[in-house]
Amino acid sequence: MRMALIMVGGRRGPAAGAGQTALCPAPSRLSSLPPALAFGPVPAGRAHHVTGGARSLPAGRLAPHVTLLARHVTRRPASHEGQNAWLSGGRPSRGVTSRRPRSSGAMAEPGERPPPAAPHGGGRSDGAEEAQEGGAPAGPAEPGPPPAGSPGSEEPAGDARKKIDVLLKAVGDTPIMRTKKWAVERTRTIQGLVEFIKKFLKLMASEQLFIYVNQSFAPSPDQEVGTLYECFGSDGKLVLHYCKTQAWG
Amino acid sequence: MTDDKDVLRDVWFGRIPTCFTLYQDEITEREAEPYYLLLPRISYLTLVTDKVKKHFQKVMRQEEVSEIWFEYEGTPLKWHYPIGLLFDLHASNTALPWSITVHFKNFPEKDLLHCHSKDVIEAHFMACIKEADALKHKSQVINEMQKKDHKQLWMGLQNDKFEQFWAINRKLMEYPPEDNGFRYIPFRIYQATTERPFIQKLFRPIASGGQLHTLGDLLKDVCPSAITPKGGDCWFLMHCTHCSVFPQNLSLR
Repeated sequence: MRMALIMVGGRRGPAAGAGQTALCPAPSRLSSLPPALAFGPVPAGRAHHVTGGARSLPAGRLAPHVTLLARHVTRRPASHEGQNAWLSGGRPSRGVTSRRPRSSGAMAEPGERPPPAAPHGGGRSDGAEEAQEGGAPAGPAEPGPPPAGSPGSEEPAGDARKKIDVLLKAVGDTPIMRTKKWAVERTRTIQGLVEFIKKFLKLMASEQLFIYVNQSFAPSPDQEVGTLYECFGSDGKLVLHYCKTQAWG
Repeated sequence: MTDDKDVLRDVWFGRIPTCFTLYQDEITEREAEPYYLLLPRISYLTLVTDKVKKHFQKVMRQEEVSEIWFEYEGTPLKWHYPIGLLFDLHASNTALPWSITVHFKNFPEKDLLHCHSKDVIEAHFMACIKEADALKHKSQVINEMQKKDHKQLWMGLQNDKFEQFWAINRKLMEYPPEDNGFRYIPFRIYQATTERPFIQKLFRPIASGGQLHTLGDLLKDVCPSAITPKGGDCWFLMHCTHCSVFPQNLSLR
């Protein structure tokens, strides 16, 4: 599977000029997306999909905060890290640093490159997840997973800042994402997530993408992932399945 | 809850008298008369406004018509919220009839979901039912139903058939007697004062000490600002008994 590299205009890493959009890892990309509630198809021209080049780009051209992240990436070029941070949105730098150690869990497992056809990614992906976790450098400063059981006491303002771990799994013949675990802002909507996945997989704007919780229901596009996490998350993460066709009526 | 058939009936047959007027900037061939309709509180705007659409399209040229959408005092109305919720949220202080403006142009992509067919509404409705059952019964009840039962729920809503709907929905509202209630209460709290879509959290019907939780307990727990004197408007909506404002001491069983 090729890497999908996406620039959404607007803010870029300081070193990223117009000519090297391939170097997407600046985690600020989502911050330039329109406000969360954008339901229509993404207008052509807002997203530029650029392929190739990411891995060969010299580290010096990475945005500073991405380089910082790269310390933790032992087996993967920094660009992968950046893609994980893609979803950070909001305040890129702070977001990335706060979840830095965990982000290593998003390193794509080097050996794993299954074909796109992955019916019910369940077992396989879970295994991969374990492998990712194992490969993570266990820094002493690890903030630990968000409190899974007691979200009730948090203030909404705090909620918005903390990120949650979302595990994305493909269903049926929908292309898989090599990076499955993402740190996502709680206030990001399902629609925002759909747009992200569509860009990541380089789907056409006109193609549909459905997201399912618990392999049973499709949350409405304006629902926030933080709310879903609180109600349907388990083991400190929210598992979402995505599919190009309706999977669970 | 399933025994309170009169209450269910009252909730089901709740209606809001509404006056639809065409937006002034829409181009018409002759004057567009307003259109009056009693809207069912538990239904969806795009599900019950076929007549409204037809009425206004009669006076418009075909090329001027694209997807219909509704607005109240500048606020685009989300069709995927139940009508009663929209009214309580945006217009509860208004004099009746509720005055809704009809648009056929400049669809507000940022605020509204597209609704090109009834299938979209059905999918949304069923997703809500499934989500609620995931909280109530770990999805066991809805998964054990047949496709035709799902269809009956939807047709019951679409055709405003109380008995047809509740013959199936009854099963979704039951729980084993030894459980004393649902696993979690499916609820959403919508507030007119915030931009966030709604509050939804896990909330058990029974406290750890064994006593029943009340609605007041729930609000205190998940939305304390709503019960302080200064609190904003806070409306309570339960899936399946859409859009009911309950007294605070109501037992959540």
